[in-house]
Amino acid sequence: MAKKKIDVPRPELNVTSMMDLVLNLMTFFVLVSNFAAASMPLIEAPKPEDSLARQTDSQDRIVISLEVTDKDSGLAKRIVAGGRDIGPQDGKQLLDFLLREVKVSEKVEVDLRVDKNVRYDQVQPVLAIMAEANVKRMNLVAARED
Amino acid sequence: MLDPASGLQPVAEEQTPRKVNRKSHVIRIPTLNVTSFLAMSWGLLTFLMLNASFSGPEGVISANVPKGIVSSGTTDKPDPNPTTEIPKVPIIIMVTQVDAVTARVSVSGLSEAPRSFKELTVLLMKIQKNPEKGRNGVYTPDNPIVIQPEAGVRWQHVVNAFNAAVKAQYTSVGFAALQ
Repeated sequence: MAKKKIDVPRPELNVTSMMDLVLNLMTFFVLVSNFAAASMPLIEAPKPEDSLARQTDSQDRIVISLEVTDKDSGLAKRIVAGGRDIGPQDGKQLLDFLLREVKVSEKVEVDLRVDKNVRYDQVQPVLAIMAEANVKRMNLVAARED
Repeated sequence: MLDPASGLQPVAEEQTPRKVNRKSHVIRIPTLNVTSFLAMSWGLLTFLMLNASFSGPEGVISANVPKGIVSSGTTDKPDPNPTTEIPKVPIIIMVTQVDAVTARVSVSGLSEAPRSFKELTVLLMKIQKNPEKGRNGVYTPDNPIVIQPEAGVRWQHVVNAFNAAVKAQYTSVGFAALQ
């Protein structure tokens, strides 16, 4: 008796459209990701009315960031200057850092990046240190109106 | 055709055995194994999705730090570059706390009190002396402005006042020490 060959159906998966979508998503996230911005502390920038905030191309600048502990207290959690974590009370370390930078370049600009909920009495010591270090130009970071 | 006298029977055409070619042509379809490629893509996609942060765009508002203004809170250090110029009287913008989130703004020496930061900009423009812009006030654009907030005022309002001063085209804006 002749053996009958049974054709077992083979399931097939067409992954063409999935690969297309995955590559599109990857391209999107590669273009959107900004690894430099990711290294700075996450803050809620102030939104002034009719904001004059503009993007700057200045290379000779230092960014000082102040994070808030919580919105109710308005206390500064930490200060990050030039990528370095400085405690909120350590004014001497911040002053030494700024003096070194101003010594290297007198035209150095300081970008002050403070969360909008931080109280003024937490920021004022930083402003005083900037004046003591003889910083000539100060930029306040705010939300842009594009 | 065979001779029937020989005794051999002619064989029909269809019964003649043919040579069969056992070699059949096999067409190979090229395949691509995308398993590792997909694994890598998913890994990269997951990393980028977790790493992306969609915060609003940030910019900077610039101004020069005024000279000779007590913005550091220390008055015992002499000015290293003393000048013979008559010091300009700074315009003092006071920001007072109303409650945890709101603040009130006023300009020292002026009876007119702005109700918003937009009105503050208008007021600062009104008192500015700038013939090019048609302003016939008292203070020149390089006249120093000092923002004096109370201790509990949130930074949002301080930046609002700073923005208003820069928008009114004053070039020298600083901050006062805490009282």
